[in-house]
Amino acid sequence: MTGFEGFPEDRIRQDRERRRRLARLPVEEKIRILVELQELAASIARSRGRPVRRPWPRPDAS
Amino acid sequence: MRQAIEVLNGMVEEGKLRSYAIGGGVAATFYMEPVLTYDLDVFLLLPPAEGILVDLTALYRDLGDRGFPAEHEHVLIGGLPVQLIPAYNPLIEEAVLQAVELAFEDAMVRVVRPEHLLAIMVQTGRPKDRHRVALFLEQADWDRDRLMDILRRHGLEDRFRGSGGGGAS
Repeated sequence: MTGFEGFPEDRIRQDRERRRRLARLPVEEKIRILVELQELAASIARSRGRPVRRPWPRPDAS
Repeated sequence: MRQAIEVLNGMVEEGKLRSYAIGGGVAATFYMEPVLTYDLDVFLLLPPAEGILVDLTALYRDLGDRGFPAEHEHVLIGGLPVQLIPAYNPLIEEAVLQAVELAFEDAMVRVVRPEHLLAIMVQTGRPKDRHRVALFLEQADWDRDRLMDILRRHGLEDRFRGSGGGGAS
């Protein structure tokens, strides 16, 4: 069976469950993940020669 | 982020702010999966002032004197770009007044309620807000009656349906 845009339905379900698990994490952990996302985005922007937005300091570094 | 929270709470204690509430992507992150954002958006209620224009000059000067410089439209606190946004309409004002106090590390922080956050996303209506509404409805704990009451009172019901929230339960 396939769902949205040809993605297998179980893959969509797993992704939804992963997102819900993330939503239930303690907010401090979610902010750590947010900073990791910012660092990842900065790394991608840098490799493409795009303007880089400065990531926040890592929470454990402040 | 902890330092920014301490600074905001201190400004309320000192009477420089009537109240504040975290909004935007960071507020959303309290309730749903982490969303990529770079600003800490803070809605403000300022003490009563003479005149009708909102003037943040004294606030920025005070923060600058304490080592938190202005950078473009932000103030840098502990390395975080904090955007200070005076409540600019009745919905935002209500969202600040009815914000909840949540724990972050060992500090308490005022955060816009999930239902007000949804209503603000619907009102703002940028593509990223519309995308966030769909994820928020699915992941966050929110109260349908409270949300519908806010949407009705602020004339946002049609926009909410248009943003894909019509089937929300």
